[in-house]
Amino acid sequence: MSQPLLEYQNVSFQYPESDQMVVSDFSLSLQAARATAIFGPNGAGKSTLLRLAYGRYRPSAGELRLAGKALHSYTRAELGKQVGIVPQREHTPFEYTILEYVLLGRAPYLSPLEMPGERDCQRAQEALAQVGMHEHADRSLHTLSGGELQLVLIARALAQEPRLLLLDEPTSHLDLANKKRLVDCLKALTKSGVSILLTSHEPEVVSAIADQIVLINRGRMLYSGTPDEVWTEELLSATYGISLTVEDVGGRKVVLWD
Amino acid sequence: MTSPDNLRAPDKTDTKPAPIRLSRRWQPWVLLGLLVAVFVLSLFWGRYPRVGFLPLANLSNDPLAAQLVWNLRLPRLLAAVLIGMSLASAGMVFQMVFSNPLVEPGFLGVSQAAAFGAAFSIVFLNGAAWLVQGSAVLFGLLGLASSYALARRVRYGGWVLRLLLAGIAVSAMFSAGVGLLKYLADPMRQLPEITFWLLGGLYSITWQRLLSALPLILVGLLVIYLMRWRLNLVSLEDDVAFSLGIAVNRERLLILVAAVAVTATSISISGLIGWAGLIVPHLARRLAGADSRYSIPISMLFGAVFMVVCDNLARTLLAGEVPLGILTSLVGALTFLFLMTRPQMRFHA
Repeated sequence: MSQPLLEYQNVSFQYPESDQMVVSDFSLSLQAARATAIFGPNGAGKSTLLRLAYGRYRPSAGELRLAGKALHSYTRAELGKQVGIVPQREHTPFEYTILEYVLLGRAPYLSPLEMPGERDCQRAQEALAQVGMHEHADRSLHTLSGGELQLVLIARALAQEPRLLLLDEPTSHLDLANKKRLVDCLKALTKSGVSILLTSHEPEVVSAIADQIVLINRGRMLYSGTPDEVWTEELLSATYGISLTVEDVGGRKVVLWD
Repeated sequence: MTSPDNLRAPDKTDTKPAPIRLSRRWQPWVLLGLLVAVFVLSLFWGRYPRVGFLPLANLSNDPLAAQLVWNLRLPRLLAAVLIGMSLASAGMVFQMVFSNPLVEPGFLGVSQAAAFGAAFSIVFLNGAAWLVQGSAVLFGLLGLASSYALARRVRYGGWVLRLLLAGIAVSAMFSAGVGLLKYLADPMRQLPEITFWLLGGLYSITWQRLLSALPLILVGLLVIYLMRWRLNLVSLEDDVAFSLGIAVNRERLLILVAAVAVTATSISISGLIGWAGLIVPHLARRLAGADSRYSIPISMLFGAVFMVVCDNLARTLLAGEVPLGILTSLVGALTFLFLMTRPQMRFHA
């Protein structure tokens, strides 16, 4: 097996003034050009795992390695060229055009007083094309639907030319059509070589995108495997503490509660 | 009844591009041209020898006119330009750093604190010009720092609301302090000088005063101008800005200190001038768009034109002088109301 892109090695994390472990003894390897989903109840530590992956938090114990090198040995700008994040929602008080907003993703490549140049604009346009929004480059951010905004946020992360994309519940407030649009976009991205780590509450989204699913609860990994291995009634019922049924509908797994 | 027109795909209206009226490449040059024109006309505009333009010939044959233009109007106009640039660009910086289009330096205690600093040095430190300025700048920074520190302790509402509440409290405390200083001040010597701070005006600008404020204002404006694209990035949410490789707090602090420095230095030579820092950035964004790469230079130029025009009104409207702060507040508030009632104008607070 080739060298993993991102590794969590026995990672634990707790907030400075708290004695509760948010993540404990978590280990995971992400391969290049694969999609991994972290799945688990509210407050299980999913978002914290993402924050650890781009250096926002440093682990209290254990270590993260990115492309074989300790994560904390990267500078912020170096890390910004490797890892892009897509937040769940973003407050956008000012009316940027889409291209201007995506261009902000070029920041890791520019020194503090540098302005983005021709090459950066071109890269931003390509990123917009990757999510299918290139025809809307001059539209205002405030005319976008929730789903379109999510695609623009992905494009901004892609403008960083990252090897790893982190998405926090990317579909949680999207309607069905936009969900499908987003899922298709993420599948195409992994095909093109970008690795994806996402959190989600939605089994159908996770099973459509992910090659690997990690079940967690209370900061601990319960199980990790392919969707087929993870979507079992015992595992899911144990994770959520209620009785769940898994049905196969036309080759897709659907999780139902009683 | 449903006419065929109503059956059109609804996304038709969504695809209209963001309105850009005058191409961005030309906007700064047009505004710069406007500023130069207004500036030159203002040199000759006034109430001497009568209301209207001073004939060019008077400059060579009337020593009083030459004195008036070169030693009173010129420094005063230059001060108006610098103060307009400072307040407008500082307002833009504040609005972006706090991701709130309704913030301006005055809301966060900076202006009142700077006025307090100036009044304090007039009453207790004998009020040498450099002391008044230094004290205004120092207290301006202190005002921002107190608002910030207080906001971290408020246990109510989101970050922006807490900051605004803290700012209101800090402003009120410093204006109470100014009230006390007025009470203590010598009514013949010190009180008129303090009153000048509170109403704002440029009638006491001299070359010396202008030059003493120049270095700090120029350095601050330069920092803001050079960081104008970066300002977009520090306006993003913390997590996102971090992931883009930004040292969020350090860069925010640097650009805020520059904004406070130009604001407080301006206040130290002009007194309190309200509303320019709120309204000009809004107009600049309407013209140039949200990207601060464009909106900062436009805001600076717009602010300069706004201040020169308001000051012209201040010195010629009445036989005496109308305090500039009163005029900018009036014009600013009216413009604000006008914009607020436009259907296409949205304020995302």
